[in-house]
Amino acid sequence: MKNRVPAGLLGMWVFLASEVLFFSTLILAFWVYRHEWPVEFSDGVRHMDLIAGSVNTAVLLTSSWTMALALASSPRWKGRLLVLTAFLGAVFLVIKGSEYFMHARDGMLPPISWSPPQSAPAFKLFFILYFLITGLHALHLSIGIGCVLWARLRMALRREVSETLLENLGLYWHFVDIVWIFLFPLFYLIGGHA
Amino acid sequence: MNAPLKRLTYIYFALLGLLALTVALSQVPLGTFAGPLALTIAALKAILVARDYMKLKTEPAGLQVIALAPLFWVGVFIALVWADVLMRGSVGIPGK
Repeated sequence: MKNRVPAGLLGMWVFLASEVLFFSTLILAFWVYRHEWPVEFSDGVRHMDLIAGSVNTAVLLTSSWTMALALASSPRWKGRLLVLTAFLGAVFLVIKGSEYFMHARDGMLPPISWSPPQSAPAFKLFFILYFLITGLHALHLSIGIGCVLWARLRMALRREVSETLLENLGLYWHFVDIVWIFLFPLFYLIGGHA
Repeated sequence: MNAPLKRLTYIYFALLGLLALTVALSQVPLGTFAGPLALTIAALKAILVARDYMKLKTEPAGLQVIALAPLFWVGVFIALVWADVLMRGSVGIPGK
């Protein structure tokens, strides 16, 4: 049948549809609270490291590019590009982790370390949402890195890796990239540096 | 480099360009336009990734509908939440 979609691919898109709703709930909560407490939330944005956030966005966009190239490349290049994609994902996590470390050092990691420069409850709320939402994004990325390396290992062991599985890995990876594309302006740009 | 790989690379350059643009604009005092502008650029980036990297452009129409359906639900969700947040307290509730 023409235009028939593999069941696995369809399943992935339905899964991603549920993920869109999952992340949009969190983003909408952030958006509503920003509306309620614009001053405190802008103050929160000013405590973000814009350079680290921008570099991380570029790193993740590059990983999406290498993932797309991997799926369009010959088998010889596919494996290398998949490893490069996972490596870039790991670089993102290292940069994100160093940002978390800086926030913790400066007393802005609620509830573990909380001695912030300003004590408004909404400022704390900003950081709770920041760690919750970026943490869930980092968890998604970690799962993606694990799956990419697992597929690469199977290829190295000459086990079967279906086209649909690789396509689904790509879809998941790009989705995680899209989530960050929206998180970046929310946490690093809007209201903070102008 | 063959044509499909070239195209993926052009998309990558466009994404980096949009990133540079949104970071540069964040340094300009745009007032209330800053938010909508940054989110519009984010949406453009997301469209490029979904259309070309997730290959939505070449998928059958049925799959495109399934992929884009959550945007409709998110739209309903956003509309109802904001209707509640913005109207709260402005509509009298009998008996309260």
